[in-house]
Amino acid sequence: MFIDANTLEDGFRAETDVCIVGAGAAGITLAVALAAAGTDVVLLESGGLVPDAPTQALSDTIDRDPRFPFASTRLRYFGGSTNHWGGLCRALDEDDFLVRPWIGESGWPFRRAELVPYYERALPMLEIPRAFSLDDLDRARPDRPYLVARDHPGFTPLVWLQSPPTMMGERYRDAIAEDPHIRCLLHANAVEVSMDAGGRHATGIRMATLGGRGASIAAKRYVLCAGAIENARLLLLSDSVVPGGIGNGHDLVGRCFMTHFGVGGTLALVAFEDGGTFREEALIQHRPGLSEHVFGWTTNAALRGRLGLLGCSINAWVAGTEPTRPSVPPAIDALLAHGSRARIRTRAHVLAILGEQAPHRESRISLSNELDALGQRRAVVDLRFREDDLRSLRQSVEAFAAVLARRGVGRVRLEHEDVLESRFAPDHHMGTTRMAADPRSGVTDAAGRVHGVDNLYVGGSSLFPTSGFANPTLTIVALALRQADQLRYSMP
Amino acid sequence: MRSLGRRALLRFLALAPFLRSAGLAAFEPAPRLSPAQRRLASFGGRLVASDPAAAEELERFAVWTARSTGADDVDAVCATLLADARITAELRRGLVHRVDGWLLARSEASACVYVYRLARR
Repeated sequence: MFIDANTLEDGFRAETDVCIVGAGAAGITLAVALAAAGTDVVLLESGGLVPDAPTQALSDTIDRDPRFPFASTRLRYFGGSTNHWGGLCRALDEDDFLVRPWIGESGWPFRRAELVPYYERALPMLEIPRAFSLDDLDRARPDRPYLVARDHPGFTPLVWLQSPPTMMGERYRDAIAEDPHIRCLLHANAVEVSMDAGGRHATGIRMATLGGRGASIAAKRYVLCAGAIENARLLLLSDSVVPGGIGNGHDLVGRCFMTHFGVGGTLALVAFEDGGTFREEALIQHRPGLSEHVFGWTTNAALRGRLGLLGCSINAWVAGTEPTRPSVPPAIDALLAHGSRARIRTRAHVLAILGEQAPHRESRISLSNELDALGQRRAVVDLRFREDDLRSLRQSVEAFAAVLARRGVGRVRLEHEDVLESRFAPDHHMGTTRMAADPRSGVTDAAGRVHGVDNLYVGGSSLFPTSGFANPTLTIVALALRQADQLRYSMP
Repeated sequence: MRSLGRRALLRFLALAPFLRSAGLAAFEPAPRLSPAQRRLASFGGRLVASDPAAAEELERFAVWTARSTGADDVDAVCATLLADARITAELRRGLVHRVDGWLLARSEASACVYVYRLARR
């Protein structure tokens, strides 16, 4: 059921099995999965069922670098940022979970195999009709060659799964309204995690409404699913018992803040005289569950290891579906038509190149002295890159461009030599409460439980120790499903 | 002709080869460029305008390549610079150059500048 927190009596208290803060991709998934197993849940959502400006303003941040504005990247109402996502999905690669010696602080506290069953279950949550194997590439248009060979030592064809996109708020609103195990409090802003005197056990979530009501929820377990910025902010704000904030004994809360960063470009590609395409492009136009708009390639683990690269995806828009229509310059046309390749024509695709950012402790969320409408200190976002992040992206693209040029099948253009000048939208917020077995390396353990606190958990992409190149939503949902299982089994 | 005089004309014609060998390009006829070469020249122009120093370096590379391979006309120079093996080797070694954001092998960029200079004569 839904309850507007503004209708509660001031000082209202409730008890439940699990209290979840934030009704976005992680929070809704967790609530639905726990309730399906008979666990009672209180789900706190800062906003209502539709957006409103005063609530949205609670998410305003102090952005240290004006090139990266964060104001428009989050939505603070039921469904969270799934209300404006694009629906592209992909699981992280095997090597994303491993320690990569050339990336400091890399490595997840479990292997990919641990998450695979949850990836399978996450697909229907996001309304993706079927799992997909790259082997399907071989069956698609066998009359066409690959643009980059399947067994190429550096690059792998990349297909994106496509969610409609599922707006979690709309999709699961009725289920949550009717579920006897879920109470969803709207306009309920978590302002502090209350702790016992020893600071090792959470005793409640204190919340407030913009209408001036205060309330608290007591639960056996608490899970913060408010996004990488707000999760860190809430832990840092909760300092009345634990100086410096909960879980921050090693000054790690808010650190290693990451996003995917990218640069636009153009791909000039040969096309067959009959209008046909390469196999990668032909495939996605005919397979349900795959993006109809984007096909691409990724650096593979061997190349990343050899050159010390971070993850990178190079994505081309299918001609005719892109937001702008690029053209092929005459000189590029001449180079592609050089020699025996004169029979082909060329056409241009918009490129979107996305890179993984390595975890750096200096890239962080902290608290300012400026207060929001609830009297809470605002978050300072200090997103920082290192030269290795940028080098990796450039080197990946240059290697890809060289592969196409050597084969005489395509050419690549980068819009900006300086990647950071490309003004990409920093939409994917990750890190800040990263998982690690050792409390000196992460805020949470492999289950997402805050180190040193027996009943406080974090959910969502703030758990990611590293980000890979894949869009995070599928992994967020998979992690939430895994966490639901772990919480159920650990419930007293 | 009448004003120059027969003797003066003969003297001028006798001097012409020396002037040409002295590098006075005004006396050289502009070579005929193919449509593909003219298209390459458009990138050469961008390079000269955006990064003159790099363009000069690339032009020197084209001239040096032409001399060292014995290529003696524009078609031969372009064929040498755009040979698949040469381009592949440069791309493998990371010898790339950006022209208006496009990633080209050094010899390709060099060919662009070379034909641009010829087209401007």
